[in-house]
Amino acid sequence: MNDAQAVPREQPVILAADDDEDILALVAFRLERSGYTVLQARDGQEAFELARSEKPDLAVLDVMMPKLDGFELTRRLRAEEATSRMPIILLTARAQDTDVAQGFDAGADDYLRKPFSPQELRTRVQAILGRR
Amino acid sequence: MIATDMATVSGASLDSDSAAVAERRIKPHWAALAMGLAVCGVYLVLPERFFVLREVFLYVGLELAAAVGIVLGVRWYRPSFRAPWLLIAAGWTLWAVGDLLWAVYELRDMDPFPSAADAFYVAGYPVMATGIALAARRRFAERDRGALLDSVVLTTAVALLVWVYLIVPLRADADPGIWTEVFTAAYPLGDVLLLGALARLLVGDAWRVPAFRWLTAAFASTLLADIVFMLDELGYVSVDDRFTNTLFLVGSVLLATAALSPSMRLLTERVYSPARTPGLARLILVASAALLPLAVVVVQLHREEPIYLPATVAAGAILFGCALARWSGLLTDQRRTTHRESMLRAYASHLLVTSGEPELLKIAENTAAALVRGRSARIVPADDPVTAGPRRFVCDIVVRGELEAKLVVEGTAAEIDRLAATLTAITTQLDLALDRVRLLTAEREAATALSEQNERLRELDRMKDQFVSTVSHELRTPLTSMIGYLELTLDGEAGELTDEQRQFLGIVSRNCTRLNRLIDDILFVARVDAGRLSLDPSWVSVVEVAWTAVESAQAAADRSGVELHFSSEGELTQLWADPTRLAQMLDNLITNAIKFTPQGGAVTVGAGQAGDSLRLTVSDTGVGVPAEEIDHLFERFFRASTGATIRGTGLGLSIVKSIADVHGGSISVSSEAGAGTTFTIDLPLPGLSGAPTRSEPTEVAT
Repeated sequence: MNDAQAVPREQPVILAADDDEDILALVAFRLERSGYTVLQARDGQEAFELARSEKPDLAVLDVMMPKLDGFELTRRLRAEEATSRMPIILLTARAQDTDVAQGFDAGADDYLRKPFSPQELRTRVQAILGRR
Repeated sequence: MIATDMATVSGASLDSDSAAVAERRIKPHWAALAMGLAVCGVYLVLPERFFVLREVFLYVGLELAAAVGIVLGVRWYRPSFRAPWLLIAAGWTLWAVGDLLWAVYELRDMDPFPSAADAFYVAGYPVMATGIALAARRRFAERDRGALLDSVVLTTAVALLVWVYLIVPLRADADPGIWTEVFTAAYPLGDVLLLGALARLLVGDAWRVPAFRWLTAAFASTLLADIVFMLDELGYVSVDDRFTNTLFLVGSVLLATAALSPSMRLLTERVYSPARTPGLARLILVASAALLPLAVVVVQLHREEPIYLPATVAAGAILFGCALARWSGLLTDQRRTTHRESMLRAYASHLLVTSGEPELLKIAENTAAALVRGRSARIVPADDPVTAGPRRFVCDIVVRGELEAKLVVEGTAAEIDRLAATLTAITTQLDLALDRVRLLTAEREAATALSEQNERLRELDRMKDQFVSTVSHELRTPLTSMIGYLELTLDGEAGELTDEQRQFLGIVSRNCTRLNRLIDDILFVARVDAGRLSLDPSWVSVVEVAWTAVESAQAAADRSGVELHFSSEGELTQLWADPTRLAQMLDNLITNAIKFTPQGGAVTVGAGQAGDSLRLTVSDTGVGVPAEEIDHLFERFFRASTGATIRGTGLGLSIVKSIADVHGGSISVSSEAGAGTTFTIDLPLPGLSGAPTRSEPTEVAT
């Protein structure tokens, strides 16, 4: 895993967005350890701007975020030319199935329920990025 | 002698009150009648030589006894209005005095005319007629113009007869001289006067009072004697004076009977709203009376005697006038009745469509005012000291026993009399309308309060939902960090761990997972309570769901040293259900079974078909549930006594039941303490309502 850091340009870039610092750090740690470059955003607005400017390869977005929630953010990213095809994984603390459906409606590729296993997050990210 | 007898009768009862008299075995009026008639008999048969005994003691004595009887009757029965009776007694006494004087003239062989005796006689008529007229006036508080006119008709007819057949012949017969003529005419005129007064009582409803019938009989007897006497004088008939006098005496006896009969006090009692419509008998009486002038003319022409044109014409004119007045009166009554009725109808319908109390009062006020033609009608507060009077009608407005206000109407006495019943009806309807309006208001207020309360409850419910969802989110966020970092640590991302560290952190991690599971359960239960358990149905292969559940529980079973089996019978139809919920249900049951089964035991999951249902069973060889606890097993937070040491929240089985319920299924338990438990779930086919037709053939998982 660590060998990936040697060639940062070659590493896939992942945007992680969560308003909870600890969870954000957890996602970043797990994914960086797995060889990804992680851009961190603390709210939806910041995530949107980072996504537009940096054009990451994938985004892991929390649903419940201030300013712009995960669903709305997904919708906007899908509407942007630059990010319309970027894979998005939603993290949701709400367990209702309607929320999940809403997420897919907005254009998400996958979702993980909080609390989630960092290993599983990595597996899903790898699965999506490996597909391409 | 009779006077003494009467006194004896009275003496026995003077100390007792009228009620006691009424209860007497021998009624005083019957006693008076019997004794009086006996005296009359004695008078009739007593030889001429006992003149003083006959004419003074018996005759005058009986007359005075009648007067005394009246006074006694008044004392015993205490009528509210005594004047009529006392005036009759006075008139009768005047007659007795006249008779006494006449006896004196007879004894001295004198026969003066007109004499002092005649003066007493003649004076008696107006006194008694006044008495009777007063009784009528008192009795009929309401002015009944019709009854008055009818009595005028009757009196006029009698007066015409008296004029033609008594006064004119008597005057022709009498010696010349003004006093002779005056007194000659005075007797028949007195009779007419008495008759007129009686007629007014008669055309009222006095006839149903027994005392009045006795009174009428008394005067009829007296007047008959009078007329027979006069006809005898004129030579029309020849009747012994003895019989005529006996008839007079019978009149005295009947008068006493009337005064001593208990109903005498009713005669002067006020009668409210007597029947205004004349009965048939009265109609015939009045109509025949109206025909009398014609009859007189016919009879006189037939007898080839003068027809006394002025008298006949005068009588005819009076009768015609009465008929006219009567007719117009009836028409007026009719018009008033129609007006009143239409007004009351309008009033009633107006009340029904009005819902404000002040408006209702205003409507009642206006209606009352319109009835008295714009004179004062107003509604005053309950504490207003206004009192009713002849020109003022006051009626309480009462709602549910509470005096609310008073309706006060002022007008002429006649109007107030005439409208009292209608005004009372107006008040009664107002009472009802007010009651109705209050009921409606109370009902409306209750409904409003209820809907407000409902809204508040709904708001509280929303807040509760919001709270549960917020809390679950807030709880999950720290749990996410805890579980995530624990996993990283356990994975060795933060350096190698000692075995003990790994073991301890494993315990922390397991408990974090438990906590998360608890949050899930609580959220689920909250959603069921809110009726917001959302289902996402699809065609489900139950075998597949069960197999998956068994597979995912395999690890836990291995850890507990419990064998886990799965068996399915035959090919099972697909079910229209929510697969996630079914999985959750089986997961709960299997986890539960493993938890309560000691090491070395077995848990068996089965799927099969039972009639129209799919049957899922989960059996264990665990601790079992005592029979008395089985009924409580699906209650929230209930924990079987046999599993007291095993961790759990008591929510699992209630969730299982909720899921079975929303799928229209049923769940049952059979258990033997110490030997194991079997849960059986039957899910009716094809599943949830609104199942679409299957487009593809049944797929059976392999």
